[in-house]
Amino acid sequence: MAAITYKNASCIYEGSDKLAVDSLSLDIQDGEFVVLVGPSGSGKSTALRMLAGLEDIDEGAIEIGGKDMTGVPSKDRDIAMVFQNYALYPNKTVAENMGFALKLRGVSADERRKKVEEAAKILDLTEHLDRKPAKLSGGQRQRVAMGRAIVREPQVFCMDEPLSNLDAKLRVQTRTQIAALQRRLGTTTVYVTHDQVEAMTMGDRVAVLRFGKLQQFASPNELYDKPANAFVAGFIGSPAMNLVTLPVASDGVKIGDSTLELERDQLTKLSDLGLSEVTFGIRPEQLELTDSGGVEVVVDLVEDLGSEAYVYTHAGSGVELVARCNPRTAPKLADTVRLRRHPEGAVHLFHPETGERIN
Amino acid sequence: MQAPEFRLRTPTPGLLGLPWDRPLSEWTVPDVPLRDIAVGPSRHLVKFVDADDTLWAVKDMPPRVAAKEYDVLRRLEEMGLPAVRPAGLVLQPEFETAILVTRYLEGSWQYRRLFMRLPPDQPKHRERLLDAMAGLLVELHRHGVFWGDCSLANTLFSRDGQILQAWLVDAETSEVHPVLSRGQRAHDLDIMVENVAMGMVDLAERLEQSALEDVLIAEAEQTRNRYERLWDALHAEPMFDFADRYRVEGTVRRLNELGFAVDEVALQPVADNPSQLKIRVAVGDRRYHAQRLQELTGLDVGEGQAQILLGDLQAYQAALCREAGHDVDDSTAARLWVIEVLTPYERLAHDVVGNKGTPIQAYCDLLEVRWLLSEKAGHDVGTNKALAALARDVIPIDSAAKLAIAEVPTAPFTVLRDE
Repeated sequence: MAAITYKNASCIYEGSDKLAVDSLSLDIQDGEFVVLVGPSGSGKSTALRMLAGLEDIDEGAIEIGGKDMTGVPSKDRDIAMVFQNYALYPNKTVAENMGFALKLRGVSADERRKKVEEAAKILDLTEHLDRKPAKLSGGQRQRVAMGRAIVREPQVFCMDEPLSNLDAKLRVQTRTQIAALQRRLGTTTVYVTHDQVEAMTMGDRVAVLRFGKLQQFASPNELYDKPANAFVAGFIGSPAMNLVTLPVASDGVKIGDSTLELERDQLTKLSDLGLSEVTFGIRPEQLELTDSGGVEVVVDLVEDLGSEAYVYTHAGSGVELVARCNPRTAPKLADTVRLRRHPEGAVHLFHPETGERIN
Repeated sequence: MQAPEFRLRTPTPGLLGLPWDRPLSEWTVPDVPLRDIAVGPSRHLVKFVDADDTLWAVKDMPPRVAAKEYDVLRRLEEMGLPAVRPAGLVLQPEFETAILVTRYLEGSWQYRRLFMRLPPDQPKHRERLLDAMAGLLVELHRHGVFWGDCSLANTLFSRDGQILQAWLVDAETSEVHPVLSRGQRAHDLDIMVENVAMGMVDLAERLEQSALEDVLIAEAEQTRNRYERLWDALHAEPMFDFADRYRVEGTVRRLNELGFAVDEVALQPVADNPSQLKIRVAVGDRRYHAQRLQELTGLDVGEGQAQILLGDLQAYQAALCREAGHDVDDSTAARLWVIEVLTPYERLAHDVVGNKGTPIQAYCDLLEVRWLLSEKAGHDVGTNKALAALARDVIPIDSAAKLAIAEVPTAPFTVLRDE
């Protein structure tokens, strides 16, 4: 097990003038589960591959357990890429399938059996060890693939979108298993996904990347409650945060003729910065229906999820707002209703040009 | 119902008429013309369909992965790399899934099928298999393709003269980059060695040859050396004195012997020793002999076949010159060789092997058997004796001709094999 440090690490793709990963700095603690998340082209996979030795570290450094990995071949880094090698061999037992990499490394039969049995116990595969893989379910096969990496007892697990080629049901099942397994083993893990739900449910901390640059590295709660910029605010959360650029008035922000009130200290910050407009963010659950005051909107769509409903609306000025409400009292399509900020609801203010958080 | 969304490259009626509105798991005979082709265990459900006299592989996958694999396979096709050809992508939003359609590679086999019919322990044939794997990985890597899951099970093999040609059939984990890093290549190579070892060991278990395990593992480890030797030959940048520049020819010849055409040779003075030159060779396709044969005869064959056929043509030309008492030019010799030698004997050879494989491969097998028997006898045994040996299948067990295998049966079947 080991801590991992990215120190201003950069990767330049050959023939490109842009950095695939631009001065990435991350301190990952020993035993931590860190998720790298971002849209396509964000550099998340490249950042993981730099750690695994599959991409060069062109500038800066990456350390594993305090040792600089620049120039160290992949196989000498004591990491395991989980799930990449899925192939199962039909004539060999599950135990032989799991322990084969150890055999190639010259580990004795006794030692192999011991490590395979330990891994099987953790993966709940003990009773299948002497069976052939054909008898396994899809989920069990996934666990054998995990077992392959576990028996090697690496310092670090690297997982690059490991669930992307599973069907929806198996994806949720395997997601839970990976998170539970990592907690039991305590092996430092770096996990890449484009799916923010996966990131938020699995990671101790999540690093959000965009265009090769780190946007924020924080716990899921902090990312959700205090996004560092408008990009993170819009990327994390489902449905996404309402984010609109609005004119600033003396007591709040204007949506058409209505005003959404802001706190005094928020108004002070806006005035200190001399902003006449601001990117205003509010999560759907922080907006509520009201009989008077607030903003008048027209309902475009109601998404009833049973336990809650999301009301998609637009105001007269064209501003679109999504609000969460009780499905029993949800308005109907084309109704005109009023929305206001929940009395304790947080608002997020971002600089309209830089996107940086203001409040 | 939400209709499926199609991207088909050959929108034939048979393919369009398949029940795309149903999940692949529900495609059954006799409604759908499925064909029984044994494939190893795979991550996703794969079936084979016969439509418009063509065999198609259809694979059920999550849409994102299917679209990615389709795009990668198209890139591989554009680069002319040996890989299965993508035929279409059908999104089934109703079931949140997608079906990737590829054209089945005719005249190609799973390694299990090639080896199951041979007596156990065939080091020479295994060598052919490992050379093919290493050759394929080098070809992919020098075009910037990271495979990610290189294994015998994800490869099909076709016969090409005395060698095997390997074809990538699963690109789920593959990526195309402008250039691969050393780390990416090393990682792919590690995956290949482990998977090849496991694939061979697994087959030995099936053949009840578990005692061979250590030998097979050692051979699989050697795949790394096969890969590296070929990679180094293609990427070497030898240096020598300006006066020794004729040595370029040797470098080019070595590459040609390996089957690679040379696009360009650059000779540049070495920065810290300007009297020295560094050679950099831009290597083209691995079809050097195939192109030469095509220029001479119009025949379009594999590189391995072309190497053998050009040898035969050269021997014929030499005999012709002796007979005529003067030089016979290449194109005249080639024309006569096709008429007098290749055409009649490839038909005979194909007949005696029961029309297995292609006529041209049958002729290559005939040449190989003739050569092996002559070596053993210490003199040329002649074509008819070789034909007789081929007909009775009394040929050396490690000859490439032993790999001749019947075409895929296309009879419909009733139950899908679940491995």
